[in-house]
Amino acid sequence: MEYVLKTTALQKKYGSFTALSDVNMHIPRGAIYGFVGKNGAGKTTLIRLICGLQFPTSGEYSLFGIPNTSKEIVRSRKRMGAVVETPSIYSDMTAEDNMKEQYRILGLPSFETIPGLLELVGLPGTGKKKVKNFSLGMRQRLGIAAALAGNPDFLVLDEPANGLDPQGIVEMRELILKLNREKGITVLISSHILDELSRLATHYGFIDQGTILREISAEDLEAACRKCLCITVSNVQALCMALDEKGLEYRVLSDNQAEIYDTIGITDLVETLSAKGCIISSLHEREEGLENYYMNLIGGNHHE
Amino acid sequence: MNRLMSAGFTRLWKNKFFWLGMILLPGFLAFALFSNYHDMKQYNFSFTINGFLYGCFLLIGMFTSIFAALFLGTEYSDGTIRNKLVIGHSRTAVYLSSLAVCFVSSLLVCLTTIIITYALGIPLFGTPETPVLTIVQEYAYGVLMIAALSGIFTLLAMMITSKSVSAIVCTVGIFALLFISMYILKRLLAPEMIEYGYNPRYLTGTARKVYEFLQDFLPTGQGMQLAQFGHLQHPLQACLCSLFVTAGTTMGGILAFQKKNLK
Repeated sequence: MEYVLKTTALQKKYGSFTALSDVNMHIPRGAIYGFVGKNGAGKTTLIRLICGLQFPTSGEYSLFGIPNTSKEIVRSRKRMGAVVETPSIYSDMTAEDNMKEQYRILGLPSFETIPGLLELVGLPGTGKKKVKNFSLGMRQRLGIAAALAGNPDFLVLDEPANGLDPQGIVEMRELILKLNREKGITVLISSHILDELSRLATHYGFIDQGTILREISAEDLEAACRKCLCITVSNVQALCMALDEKGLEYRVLSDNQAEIYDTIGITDLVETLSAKGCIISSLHEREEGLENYYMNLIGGNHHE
Repeated sequence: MNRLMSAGFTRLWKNKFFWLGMILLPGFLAFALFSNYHDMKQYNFSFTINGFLYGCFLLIGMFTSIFAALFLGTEYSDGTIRNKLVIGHSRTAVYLSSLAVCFVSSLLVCLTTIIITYALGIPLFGTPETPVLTIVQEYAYGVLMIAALSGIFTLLAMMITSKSVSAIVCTVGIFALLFISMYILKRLLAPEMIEYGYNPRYLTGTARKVYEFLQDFLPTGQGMQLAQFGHLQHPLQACLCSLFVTAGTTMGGILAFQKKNLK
């Protein structure tokens, strides 16, 4: 598999404090990689390292196959765009002037694409309004527009939903999906909003206390968080017989509890069990979801 | 680096503090010219334009220090320095382009002040008595002095990530340099003999050489020499010192910036 970003035993220390420890991370080309972790887990530290804002204490990473120890790493960054923490924009300039400044830094000869880019992020017609008078959401959008200015192949977004209203979050999601599907941009998103992330990500990396706990694809995660029907009955043998007769997949949890993984007709099941003299005391649907998966992964007893 | 400089200069033209400097420094010199002209007419004093030709070199440090702190500090306060690094500009290029903008802005303010001085001073006081070649030579020394000042304050502004702290440090820094230079000049100009005999504060031997070296070494000391005497006392030494300070602060700054953890 071709990786846009690969880290190997990456470590970052600030004095005696270890912010990142032995981080191994793999972002495949074309993925939307959801980077999940609580505050202070090391998400932003890792993003700062790969953006070249800070240097690893030990270990290494490669961007588009070029290791950070090579001088060519600077060139590989030309294929990157990033919004790290707060959007990097001049507050005493307008949105258009900020974009022009970014185009100059990138060495782009024409400003023709600026209106289109501003429209893409939902910031058309801000006119002469200076960025210092923008809302946090508007700044976030402008920061993303600036990150997209160089047509990057790899986009790094650190908490992109911060400060956005519900409609803005939806628009941001659609934008990221559009960039990923239509332009093939690989995206790394760090976020606290797990529900939002679960609608986007094709891959996940879970980080806690500076260590990557697990990397998993969305498909594998879905399988791990399989939807099921939890049933409590008076006679689990009778339940097993009924489910076997119908050819359904299930798992017995205890003498009176089981999980059914296939879709079933509730009325049909109730009638069958009733015929066998088995009483249903409770029946509910359960789906683990990203949030539960994450909580289980970090031990469930950590609270922010 | 050309791209960074192009972006930096475009931002410079829109920078309010730069234009404030472009108005205040020439304005101050214009005020001094008219004030002296008024004294000349009213009290029959004798003035020439020579006393004003290098005035900008005395004042430029104040502009350079505050400009560097505010202009470069914005890169940190707005986080825009990150954009430059994330998209693949080297740290050396980022540092050198910042130094270039700082140097050119100071040079432009100085040049404008000099043009205003001639434009107003010649009609009021007549043409300079000093030969043109000598004036050009002294201006060349002044340019080196501005490079040294830019080197010092770019270093401070690039190392301090807080814009307000940077502004305080640079302002205190330039006033400290000015006061030190003023003190050194005062000691060097102390007369050997006073009313009651030998002046004990008169500097001789090694102490005098050290003071003279410091006056040549500090850019503000050079500025004071140009403004006070119309020339540098030891031009070669002063030029070498300016080159040394510029190269030293730039190399030190690049090395430190290379290792700096940015947020």
